[in-house]
Amino acid sequence: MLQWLSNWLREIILVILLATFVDLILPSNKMQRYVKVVISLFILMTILSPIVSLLKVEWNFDQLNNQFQIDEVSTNEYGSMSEILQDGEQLKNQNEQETARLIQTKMEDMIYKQLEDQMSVAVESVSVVVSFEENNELKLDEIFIILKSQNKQPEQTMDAAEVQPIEQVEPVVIDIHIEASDAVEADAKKEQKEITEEMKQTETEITTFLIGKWDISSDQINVKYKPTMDEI
Amino acid sequence: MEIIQIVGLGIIATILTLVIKEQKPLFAFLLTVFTGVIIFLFLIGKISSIIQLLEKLADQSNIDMVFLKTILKIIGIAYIAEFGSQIVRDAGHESIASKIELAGKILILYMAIPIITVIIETVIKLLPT
Repeated sequence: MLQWLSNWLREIILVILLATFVDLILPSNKMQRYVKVVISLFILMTILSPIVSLLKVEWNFDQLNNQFQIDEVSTNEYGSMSEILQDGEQLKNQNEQETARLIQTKMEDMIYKQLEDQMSVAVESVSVVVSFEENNELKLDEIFIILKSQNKQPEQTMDAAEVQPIEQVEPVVIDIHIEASDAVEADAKKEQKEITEEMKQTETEITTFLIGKWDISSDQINVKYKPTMDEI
Repeated sequence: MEIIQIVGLGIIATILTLVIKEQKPLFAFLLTVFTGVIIFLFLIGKISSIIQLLEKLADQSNIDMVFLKTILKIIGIAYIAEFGSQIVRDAGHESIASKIELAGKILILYMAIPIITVIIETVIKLLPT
């Protein structure tokens, strides 16, 4: 840019020098006026040369126009309204997704800690699904809890004072079924293996615990057991 | 010391012309023309060095050579038209002298036609249609 500018300025200066020279050489008479006009046209031409070279190129004006519009959108606020709104919507969605993910991980950590500390159950993993509703309110969809199979007997150390107030959560669906084992699947059937009874009790305890803590409905909580070796 | 030679030549030619003019005006006119041409020839060497300087200047500045050629042509036209018109005026033909000058002016403007077209086109293109 600077290089180009200096070239252009040098050109102008030298043309003006040339014109002065020519002016000196000229015979002093009526002719001088005409020659001066022509030479001044030359100088004008040199000054305009960037514009001339711009116009010489066959521009694709539509493309250029689009490019300018894009530039405008990114540099100032005079871009087309719809594009700005679109961008805004996109940003909002991204933001919501980020927030949801953050909240999910936080809640997972909290539930994990609470279960470990207060219920003394061996938790394998906790995963939480949240989503945004139309009115931007966060909605807790489901909680999945996978327990280790060698469950300790819950110690019922629930302490109401320790319960931290957590943001309001909306309806919850719990569907309890036990993973990867026919015996546990038979939750509804309730006819096999005495271990199921124990597990079921723990599940119910966990569910009630979570309902108390998080203010969700029982059908949004999924408690599963990680299948033990013999079960597999 | 060319200036002394030229001025001497000019003065001698003038004196001779004044002497001859009474008897033979035609020869006086011829003498004037020749004197003018000889002085011009004297100067040709100098003019060429000046033109070389201008060319160098134009070359350094990356100016279009068309510019320089046109400018030089314009100078040449101006000089020749002036030379001719003055000699004719000295011979006492004012009307012919003015025609020569007119021709010179028109030719100079004719040289400028390409530039004028380019400038006008640029300006028109710049205007919103």
